[in-house]
Amino acid sequence: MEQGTLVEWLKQTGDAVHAGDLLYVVESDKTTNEVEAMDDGVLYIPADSPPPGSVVPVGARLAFILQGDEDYANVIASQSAEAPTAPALAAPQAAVTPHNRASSLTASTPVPLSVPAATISPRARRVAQELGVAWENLRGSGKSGRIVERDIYAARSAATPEPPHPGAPLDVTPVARRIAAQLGVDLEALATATPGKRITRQDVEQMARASQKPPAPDQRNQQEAAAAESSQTHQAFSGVRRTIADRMALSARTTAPVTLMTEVDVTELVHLREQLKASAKASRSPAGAVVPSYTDIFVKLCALALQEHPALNARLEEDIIVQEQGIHIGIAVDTARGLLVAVVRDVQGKSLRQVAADSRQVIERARAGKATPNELQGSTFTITNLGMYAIDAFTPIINPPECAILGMGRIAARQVVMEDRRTVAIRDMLTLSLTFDHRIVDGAPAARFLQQVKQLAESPYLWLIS
Amino acid sequence: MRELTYTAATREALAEEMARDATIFVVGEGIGPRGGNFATTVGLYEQYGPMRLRDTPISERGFVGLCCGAAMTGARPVVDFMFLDFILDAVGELFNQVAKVQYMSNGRLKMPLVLRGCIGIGNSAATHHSGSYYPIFAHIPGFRVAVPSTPYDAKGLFKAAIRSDDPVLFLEHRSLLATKGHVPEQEYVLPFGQAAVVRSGKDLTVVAIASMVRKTLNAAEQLAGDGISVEVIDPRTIAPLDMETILQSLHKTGRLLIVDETFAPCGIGAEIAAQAMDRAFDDLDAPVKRLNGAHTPTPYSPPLEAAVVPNAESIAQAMRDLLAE
Amino acid sequence: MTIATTRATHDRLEPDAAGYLALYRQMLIIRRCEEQLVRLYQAGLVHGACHTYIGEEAVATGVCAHLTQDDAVFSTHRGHGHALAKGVTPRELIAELLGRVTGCSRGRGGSMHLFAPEVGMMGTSGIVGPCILQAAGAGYTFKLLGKPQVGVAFFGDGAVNNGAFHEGLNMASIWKLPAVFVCENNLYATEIAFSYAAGNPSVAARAEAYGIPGVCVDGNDVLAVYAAAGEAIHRAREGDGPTLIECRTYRTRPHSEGMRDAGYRTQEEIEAWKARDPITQFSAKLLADNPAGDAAIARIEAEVKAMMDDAVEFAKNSPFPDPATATDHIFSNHA
Repeated sequence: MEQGTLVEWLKQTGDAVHAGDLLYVVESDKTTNEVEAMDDGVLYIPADSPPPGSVVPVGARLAFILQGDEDYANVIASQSAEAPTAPALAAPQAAVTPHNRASSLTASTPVPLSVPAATISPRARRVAQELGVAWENLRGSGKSGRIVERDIYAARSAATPEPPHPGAPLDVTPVARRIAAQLGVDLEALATATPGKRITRQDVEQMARASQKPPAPDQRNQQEAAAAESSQTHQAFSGVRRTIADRMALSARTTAPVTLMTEVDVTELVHLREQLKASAKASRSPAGAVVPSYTDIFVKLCALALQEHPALNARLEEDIIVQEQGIHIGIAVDTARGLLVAVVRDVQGKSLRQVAADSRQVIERARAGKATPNELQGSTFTITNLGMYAIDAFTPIINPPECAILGMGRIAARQVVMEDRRTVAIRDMLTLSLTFDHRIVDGAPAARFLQQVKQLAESPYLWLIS
Repeated sequence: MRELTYTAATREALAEEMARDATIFVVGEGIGPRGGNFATTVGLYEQYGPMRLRDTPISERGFVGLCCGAAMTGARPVVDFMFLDFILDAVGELFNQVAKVQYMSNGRLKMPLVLRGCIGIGNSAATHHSGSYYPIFAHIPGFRVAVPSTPYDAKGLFKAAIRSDDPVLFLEHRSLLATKGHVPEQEYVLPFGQAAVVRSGKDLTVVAIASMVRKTLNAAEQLAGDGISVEVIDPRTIAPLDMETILQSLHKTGRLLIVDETFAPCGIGAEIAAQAMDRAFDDLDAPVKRLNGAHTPTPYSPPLEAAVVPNAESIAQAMRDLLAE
Repeated sequence: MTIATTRATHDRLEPDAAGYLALYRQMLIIRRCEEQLVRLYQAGLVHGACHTYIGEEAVATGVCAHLTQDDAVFSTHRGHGHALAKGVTPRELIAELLGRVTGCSRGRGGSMHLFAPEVGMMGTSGIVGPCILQAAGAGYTFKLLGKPQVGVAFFGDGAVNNGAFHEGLNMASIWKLPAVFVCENNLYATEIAFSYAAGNPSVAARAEAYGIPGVCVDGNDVLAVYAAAGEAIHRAREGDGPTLIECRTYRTRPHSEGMRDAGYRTQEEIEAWKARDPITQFSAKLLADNPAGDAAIARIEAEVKAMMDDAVEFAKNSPFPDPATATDHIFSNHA
């Protein structure tokens, strides 16, 4: 956390401030925090203080709390006498002085102490950059968790399969080779990115599309380009957006994703949910009024399946695969500020109703920007549901450092050939897309997991009574 | 292969240089017929007489100032302080005159002056016979400072010191004076500002100074038993300081420890650490660490004395701690 | 131009006729040059301190008349007169105080750090005392190398209460070094009276404690200084060891330009010493001895005035040193 957005002031210049009063709201990577005063005094927000909406670095001075009969001009004079360029203070408490002196309010990091930002040695950072290893989510082996050089090498050897030997013949179809030459696609790089796989025309075309950049405007087109520019809107690449970008890039760079898809007959599940709806309507207790969503139902049954298939409830840490004890299911939530993952903890020990109540609460808080960091991280498996947008199937991207993510498509009535191979029936069908990290688990166990999810979804009464 | 003690090596260097250059003379207390408290001039008085082996009154400021004037006018004095602690009476002459004459005269005057003395804690010498103080001199523009750790280095650097037109502090640690080592019979001179990699390794760089070199080598040997590979660098001169060799090693190992008997605050280790961070920040895989003698006057009683100097065990521990960073 | 040395042409105790005029000329050069420096100081062109030698010209002149460029002079913060008498030109001296690259120390020194080894001016110092030791050291070199030269230290009454005086005179004595120690006793160390600072009012008398000759002369009488210095330098060259010469004299301007000059001495005292001005006294003697001296004195006045005009012009037109050279020459192998 290096910067945050100053959202709004809760006190204004001239307001009396008491220790503990809420002063301002800052939005960080994933949460919105209200920052409280550490001192009594009178708030003074200088004219040149960053206005609400600004992105400010941690430690930037936002305002002063004047004490006693201090006036602002004197404070500024004494500060500039001490240091011509007033140093930014790292944390608000550092600015608090015991005697009668104004304390500076500085933008503080809302990341709680229990989740410290990763520290890394300068050398490890350099090596990570040289090797293209993302270190943000590594756990360091140095003192107090500092990431050191050896951690980067370990992460690389875990993340990157051996590149093909230089000079070794590449496994490429003749058509793919010809098209690669036409499109200028580096087959070596492609082979490194998709180890153990024969490169096809499709791969090459995909790579070519991915590496295509918008053509730079030449001189003749500069005016049009400028006109186009003026019609574009610009959005600061920071906060939640940057975090998402970093994490997605990390996922794409470090995981070996494979997506399995299967169709599930959820007719019984739909019935079940209709009954739950009806019962909720009749319920008088607030808890009973909660109707589990389809996502909630899959949260619960994925937890059941994960208990049977702990290999999917795992993460890769350096060269060790860590299987998590708790099953914490993340739910991808679309919010005004971007994608967030709301976490329902210890699903294995919770009833469906409890899961539904928890998920509703955490999702609401995430949407309102009020979730705590703890509610937005620490999941061991994630579910993403695009069904409401009439998406049938897709390839979800793994939420690092997790092993797998389940994508839910829409539930739609379809003609289905039944098991007797004679009957054609109209059934409620749902496509599940499971992306797993092939570094951690192989295809067959992942398929077995998905198969169990399918079975549980198709026979909901079985697991409801268990 | 010929072996000499450290003292015999510098004595041979002095004798060779005095035979070569008649402008060299030595001043000090007891360096005439007595041959020096540390036998630095044994046999030379008989050969060269009192003008060139000049016993002095106990007038440190006086004879340093005198040698400053002599060096400005064409002689090449060697001041033998016996214990370096005695130099402190002459610091005004050294800092204000000796170190500045070349600069103030815009290079038209030279200052070929060697200031030698025994440094270091040991033998219950107590606090007025055990100071080292070399970082103070390295702090001042105009001085060269040599702290050799072997007889070979001592001879080669002593000859370079005498031939230098700059004032040189040539400091000999008490624990090294009787140590023996290879010294070739043929003549050689060692340049200032060239560190020696005295043990090569890949996990950790240790810069050790003067008597700490031997102790560090012992500690490195202990760690080698555990599969830890330590590179040990002896800067040999701390002004000029060969940072390039240190940084090269740091580039390889990513970890740097400086072991020095003198005080840590504002010391040579602080300087090396600062330069490492300034010039090789991205090579650092851990904080630069220092292991120094305690920041205290030197006590007399043996257990107290031992407690204020790094030893092979504390050095080994400092290495392990740094590797755990 | 170089300042002629007159040793060969006259007796060591009594100058010949040409020697008389040379002494007069030298004192006048120092006086006029100092006056120019005061003006330049007041015009703001002297950047740092400026300690003038006005009133004490007879001492440097009487001593340096016996020295060649190979003899080594070491001096103090009040060293302009010694530098000029030893052969530093007014051009180089004024340029130095103006901070120019043509100054004798190339702009590195200013008033208190005048170096011109080419003429044996081995340095003035902002620290009181070291010159005594350095002059002894020069004497050591000359003795070691069998050379006939001497080392000469000029210092004030303030220096004789410093340890360097004690250690330097003692070592020079026990090793019979060819050195001459010239104390310019101008009665005040900055503003501390020597009568207060010393238990024994005589500097010369201290020589006995070190087993060397000590003489006390009227420092405003150039001939008295000349005679005492001639004897001392002769002894030194002959291998008979060092001499301490106390020259009683007075600076008629404040310790340093820009400083007040009241509270520690009276206007009456200053006027009394001005009445004993070494140059006025000596010109009166010249005229008394030689009725035709008028013309010679006028000729010298004109020559020295032209010399100063030229020197000031030269200094003002000289460039400042290149900032890129600010750290050159800390060590010998540095360009």
